Amino acid sequence: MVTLKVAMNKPLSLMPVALLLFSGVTFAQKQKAPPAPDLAKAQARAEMHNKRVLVLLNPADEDLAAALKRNRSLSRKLRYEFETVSFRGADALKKWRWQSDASGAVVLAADGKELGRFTHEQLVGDKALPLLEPLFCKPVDAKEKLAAAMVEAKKTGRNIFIRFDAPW
Amino acid sequence: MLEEFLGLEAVAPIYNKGWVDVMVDVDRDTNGKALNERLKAKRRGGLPWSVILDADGTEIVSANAEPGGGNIGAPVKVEECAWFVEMMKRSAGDKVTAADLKVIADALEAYASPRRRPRRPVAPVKQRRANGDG
Repeated sequence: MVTLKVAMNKPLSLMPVALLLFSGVTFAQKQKAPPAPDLAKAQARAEMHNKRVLVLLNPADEDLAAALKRNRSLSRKLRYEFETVSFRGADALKKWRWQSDASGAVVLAADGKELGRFTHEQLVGDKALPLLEPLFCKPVDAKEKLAAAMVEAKKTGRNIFIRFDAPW
Repeated sequence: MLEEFLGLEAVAPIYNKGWVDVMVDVDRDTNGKALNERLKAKRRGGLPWSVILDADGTEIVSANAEPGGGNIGAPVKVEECAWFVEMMKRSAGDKVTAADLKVIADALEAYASPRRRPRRPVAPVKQRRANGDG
């Protein structure tokens, strides 16, 4: 009662608390916001193909994707192990909390968990692959996939549609 | 392409109702190539290739169009789409209705037709011969 009386007498004293609560709510809303459509697609493909997501962050005048394609020691592995999505411009860099003016990349798991950050400089030449390799997904066994699908099919009364493909 | 089609809003719920989806990367998955070779045996065609099995692992139908046809891969041509729909019909089970199959067939036509290459125009001489003009 005393506290309430004090609070009513000094509404300004409650401002910091109110602001904290408000910022907490907006932060929670930001956290729950779904990923951008391109990123969501990349995550879905990464989930399906047992890959990681490589988010390329480009200041307006750079194209990191093109630069990585030119890196012969890296380009094939990138295609095999990553679903790539590019974002351009200052807003995107800010959103990804990218601290540099130069381009860079963020590696995500398919569920969106951040696994690593790399500057353009780190992704140049032969030093890039040893940095990225520890983040690759572990291979899955196709026979185990089929065995799990058979269990699921029996349980749910469905058939099994197997699609064979390759990343090339 | 097939993956994109099967993930379409109209198609995915029907697909998931009738089939358990398994994607095998023959290059990256352990035993992927071996499983592909075992299931495909001596049939023609490269990748992508697909096969539908029952819950015991027995083949119901494959992407090799019958009779004696090649692998339809990711279906785009009219005859490829027709065989894909036939694959779905043969393996639909009791959860997928005829109306569901019609939705799949219509969605595939809508998806594939803009991706079809226009047929090359018939060469003038052949055209004249076909018309019986000499």
